[in-house]
Amino acid sequence: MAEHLFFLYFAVAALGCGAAMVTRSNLLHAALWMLAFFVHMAGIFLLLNAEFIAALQVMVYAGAILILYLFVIMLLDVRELAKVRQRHASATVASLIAGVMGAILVVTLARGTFAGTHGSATAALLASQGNVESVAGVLFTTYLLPFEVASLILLVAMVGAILLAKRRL
Amino acid sequence: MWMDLAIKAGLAVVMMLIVINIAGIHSWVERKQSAVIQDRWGANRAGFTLNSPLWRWLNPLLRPIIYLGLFQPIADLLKLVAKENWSPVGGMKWLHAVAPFLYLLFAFAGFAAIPFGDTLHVAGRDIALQVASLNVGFVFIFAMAGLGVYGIVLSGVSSNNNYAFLGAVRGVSQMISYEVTLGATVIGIVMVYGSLDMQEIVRGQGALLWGWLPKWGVFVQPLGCILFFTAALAETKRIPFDLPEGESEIIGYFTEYSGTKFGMFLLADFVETVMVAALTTTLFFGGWQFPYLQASGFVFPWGAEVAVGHYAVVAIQVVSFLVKVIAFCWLLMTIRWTLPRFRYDQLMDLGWKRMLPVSLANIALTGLVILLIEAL
Repeated sequence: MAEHLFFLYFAVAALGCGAAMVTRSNLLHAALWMLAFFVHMAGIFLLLNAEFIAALQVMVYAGAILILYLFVIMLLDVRELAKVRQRHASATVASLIAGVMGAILVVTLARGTFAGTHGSATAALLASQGNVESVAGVLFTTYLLPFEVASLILLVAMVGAILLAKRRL
Repeated sequence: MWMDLAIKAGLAVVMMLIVINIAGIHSWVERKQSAVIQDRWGANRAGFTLNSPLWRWLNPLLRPIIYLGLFQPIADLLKLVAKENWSPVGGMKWLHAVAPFLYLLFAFAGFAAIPFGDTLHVAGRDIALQVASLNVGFVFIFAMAGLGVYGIVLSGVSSNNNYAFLGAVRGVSQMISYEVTLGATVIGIVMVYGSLDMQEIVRGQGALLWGWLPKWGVFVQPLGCILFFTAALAETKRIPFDLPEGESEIIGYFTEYSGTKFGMFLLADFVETVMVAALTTTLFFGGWQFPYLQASGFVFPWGAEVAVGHYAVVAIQVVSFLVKVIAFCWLLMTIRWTLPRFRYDQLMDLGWKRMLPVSLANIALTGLVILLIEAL
């Protein structure tokens, strides 16, 4: 019961924060709503017994990625930007496409093969093994190749960023 | 269930009181210790005398307190609270008010995962002396420390002051740069003790190396300890790493703050200092461990055993933790009043070109040594 109430709160609040984020004209306010959104997402992960993912969600998304966004926003004149007309001529077409894509996503999630399926990680298993240990166990055995590929992609992105930013090395 | 909640709330209150008291007394220690280091007397005037004939006999008792300057923190607090609540013209009023609140909130939140004692058995209950027994404690603390950056960004941007803005830019880049090193040095500790849970890391430090040396983090990760302490010092943004603040000349992100809001930044700085002391204690100096103290009592390496009651053991552990934290607070204070400030390019060089490579090498070295020990 309490769990359902918590889920309801986190889900509604996350959606609300997301909606507030895309509608604010002041970019700083939008960034703060995004922070609230990330924290509520972390709350949903906590309800799913995924402590590790929740902590990483806050640390990586809220603590690192959003800070980088803020860093860029800081260097812009936020108030001048807020005066710029936000509605574009193609807004209707864009929102139509976005709506269709969203509908497809919802239908796929509801009807698709993975709807209602559960992974091998149950709450009891997580409690006995430990949260980090169970994530690490799967990550470094079954999904080792994707993990290494992802780290390689990140390395390439890092080298590329340095090359672009600093021509004379 | 309600009892569990009440116990957790009680633990949170205890932790909060520990932190806020150590942080609060810092304002007095800072005045007095800087005075000792600079060969001055320091605060020795704030106070009052009682003139009524009924209470006049108390005056000689008040005098040593006044000479020690112990009324000074109270005077400081009254001054900060009584000042006008002001926000800069042309600034963003709401964000300006929220920034110090966010900064202080996230400075406090990390303490939830710091254990200040082993399990206490009382009235048939096992109470872990830690506010939140998190399996991911270390990641949680770093997440909270990372969120503290928002306070700096918002205070700088919302102040409508270019100096405050530049201070915020310096602050954010400094904190992000040193967080990388900070995280990388703790990886070595996590590898040695095999857990991200702060309580498990402390328990792992209760073992003995070669039968006599406590297996504290500083003995198995000496390089990591020095790097961690330096990087953590940079995270507190105090001298020698105080470029974001630089109250006296280069001016930092909280220039446009006064009164209670400024007081919150000041308190958050001291809370961060306590956090660094608590983290260094927990990760590298055994946390609540006291050398040779087991759950049943003292077991010395030469075979002698002294039985100690359960409550006494827990009391020794909590006091041991507090003494270590206060000792590190003292060390941080001494460093702050001894060293000059870095130049900004030196700061970035130190963080990215020197400390980060060494801390990465430390991870590789730790892995190699662990493999070698397992192979032998």
